Amino acid sequence: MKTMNPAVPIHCDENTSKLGVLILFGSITMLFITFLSTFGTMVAKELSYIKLSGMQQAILVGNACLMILSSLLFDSGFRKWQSTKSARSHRFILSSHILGLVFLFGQITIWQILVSDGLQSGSNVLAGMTYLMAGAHGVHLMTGLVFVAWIWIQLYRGTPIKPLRFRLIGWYWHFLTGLWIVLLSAILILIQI
Amino acid sequence: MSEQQSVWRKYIFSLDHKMIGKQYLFLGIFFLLLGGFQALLIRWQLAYPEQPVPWWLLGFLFKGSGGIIDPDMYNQLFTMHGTIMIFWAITPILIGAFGNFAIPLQIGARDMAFPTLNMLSFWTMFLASVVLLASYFLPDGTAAGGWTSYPPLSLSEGGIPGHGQTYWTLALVLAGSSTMMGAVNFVITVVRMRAPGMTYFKMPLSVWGLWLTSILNAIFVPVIAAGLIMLLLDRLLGTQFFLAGRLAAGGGGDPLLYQHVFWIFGHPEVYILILPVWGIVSELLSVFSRKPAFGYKVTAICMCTIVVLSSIVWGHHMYTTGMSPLLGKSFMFLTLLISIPSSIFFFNWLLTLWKGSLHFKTPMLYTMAVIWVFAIGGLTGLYNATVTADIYLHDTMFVVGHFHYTMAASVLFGGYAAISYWYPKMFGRMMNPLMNRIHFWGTFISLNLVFFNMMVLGYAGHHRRIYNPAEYDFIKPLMGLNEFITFAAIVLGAFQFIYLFNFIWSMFKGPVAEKNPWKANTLEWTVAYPVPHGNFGEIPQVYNGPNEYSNPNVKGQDWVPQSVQIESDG
Repeated sequence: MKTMNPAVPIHCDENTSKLGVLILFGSITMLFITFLSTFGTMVAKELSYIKLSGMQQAILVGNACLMILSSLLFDSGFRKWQSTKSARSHRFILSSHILGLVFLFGQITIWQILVSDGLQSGSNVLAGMTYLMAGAHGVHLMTGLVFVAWIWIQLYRGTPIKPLRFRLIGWYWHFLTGLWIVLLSAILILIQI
Repeated sequence: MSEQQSVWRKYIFSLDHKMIGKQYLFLGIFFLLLGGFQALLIRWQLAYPEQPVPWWLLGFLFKGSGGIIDPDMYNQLFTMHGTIMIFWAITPILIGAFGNFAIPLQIGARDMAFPTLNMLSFWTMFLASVVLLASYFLPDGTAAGGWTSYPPLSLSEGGIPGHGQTYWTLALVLAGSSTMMGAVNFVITVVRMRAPGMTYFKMPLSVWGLWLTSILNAIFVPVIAAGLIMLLLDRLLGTQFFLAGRLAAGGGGDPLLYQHVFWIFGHPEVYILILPVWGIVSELLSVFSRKPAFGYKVTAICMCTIVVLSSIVWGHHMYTTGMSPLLGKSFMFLTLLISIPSSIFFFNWLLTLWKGSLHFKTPMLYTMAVIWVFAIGGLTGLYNATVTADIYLHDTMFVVGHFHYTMAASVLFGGYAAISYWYPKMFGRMMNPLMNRIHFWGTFISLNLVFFNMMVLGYAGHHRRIYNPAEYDFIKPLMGLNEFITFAAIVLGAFQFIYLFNFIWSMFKGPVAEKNPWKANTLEWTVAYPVPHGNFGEIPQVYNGPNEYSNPNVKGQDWVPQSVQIESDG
């Protein structure tokens, strides 16, 4: 049997993990930049049009605000946990998780409203691209929801959590919030052109 | 404190970068054989169109079509040949195997930054391989839209029916995910895990090449992933991102968008594949010339410059798509600009050889071959970069010859150089040098006969991707050359079995390798085989650059490990 080297165990330090997460964000950003630039090109080439009513736009923006609130609650929970190590911070994390879920269901609902208003992904490529971006964001969000739920369970049970894990999951959650704000803003601006 | 490892943990789900490197190597060799076999079938059809495939090329596989390769099968063959060679042979061997094996050892790290992610990366690639291979068993066969899979050909609506193309797309998305995981790991490992004293400009150039490749992968693989996801949705969910004209139910999208997305990734992909080779060649030339790599820093900076330039030249693949002439000129200018850094480090290679004490060990022979084939591949690239020449040469066998010189020949010889060089550290034994020399000369001669003559064919107007060249009057006089290329390709294929035999035979029967058989300076040669998981008892302190050969301050030998301080006379 080959043996492990008895010397120092193999593990990476905090900054290495942080850098890893930042590079991951960079790669995810490239994915969405490609989607967004394809969307922009389709708008520029006038391949199809999307017209959103004031109400539809308001729902979209309102839903995005839920995500911002979720992010803020997560941050508050993290700060509280960091300063007091109190398990009570699980309430913030739970609220953040619930708002994330509401946001996700909100996205699906808005999607259904738009489809019922005639914006089919098959016949309108801009609608298709919008759904694709929202869907890809949603898939990433579902991963985030699993992580946030895990944090909440640990806090609720009072199991010790590595601060770095808590922090990095927070980064991911905030990144997804920021990403959706950028995507939504770009979509709303581009379809006005 | 020693930790026993189960067989599963040691060989299958290993976290050790060296074992993961070997897993990638075996995967890559399997697919290299499969892709090479398909190449011979393509060549058979081009030389002897619609004649039964002989038994020694496994003609029984074509029993259903009377022993001949039918048009659909031919499309599938060249599609899968390109896909397999690029994504399942070159990528796993050069980036997966040697990135994993060499990077931590050469920078003095215990392992990759994220060993579990590393293991996950390999098994995701394995899953991608299973999906790709599964497509061979589908009733309608594999993908058939070319390795680029341009829509609308690659779409089910008006394109290729069946599920082969869908499996292809899914397999590539999975392979891309695997590459991404590896890239993140490689980049961070180099940035964060270098041994004390191992500054960027003390890293071996092989690490530079692999590191820059990983940066390109981290940036551009998500781009093709986006394109493939859109393609997949077009095939499965009825979206029309890349469908236009009558085929589209509504307004439809634009097939050209896919080409842009594909080549924004595709051109950097060329450098993704060749950068590790450049690095390995730069390193090995110094080792076997017994002198420092000429212009080490300039070579590293040139590679960085090429990385930047490679991301803004994709349009040169699309000159014939009707792009604005001004845009075409811009892409031509930027593409030609790449020849400046390329030439600089190419001359650095030559100047490393100049007045060196050349040791023609087999890794050196393969390295010298890279210089030759890359020179031809690089120079013929200038024709394709120039709008006026490319409009004539586009989609001809000239392009096939050119990119096989750069992407196949350079990478193949670079891969052989890397395997031969690191074999003693990977398997603890030496490869048989005589068999390697026979393989080298057989491969070098036959490979040039194949790929150079492809360019001659293309210059004479022979298009690529045609099923039966004999149907075209203007190609008929070239059929003799087609037959000759096929003969040379069969010889080329036959010689590869010598290397394969040597590779397997030496693992068991080769002479036991000493710790540093090449008298090289880099850190991997300071540890004896079998290198344990964790690599170094103590993390080494690095004092010198990787190429301190024939240093006058070192007495009694012409090499000095990076971890040994050189006593200066002064």
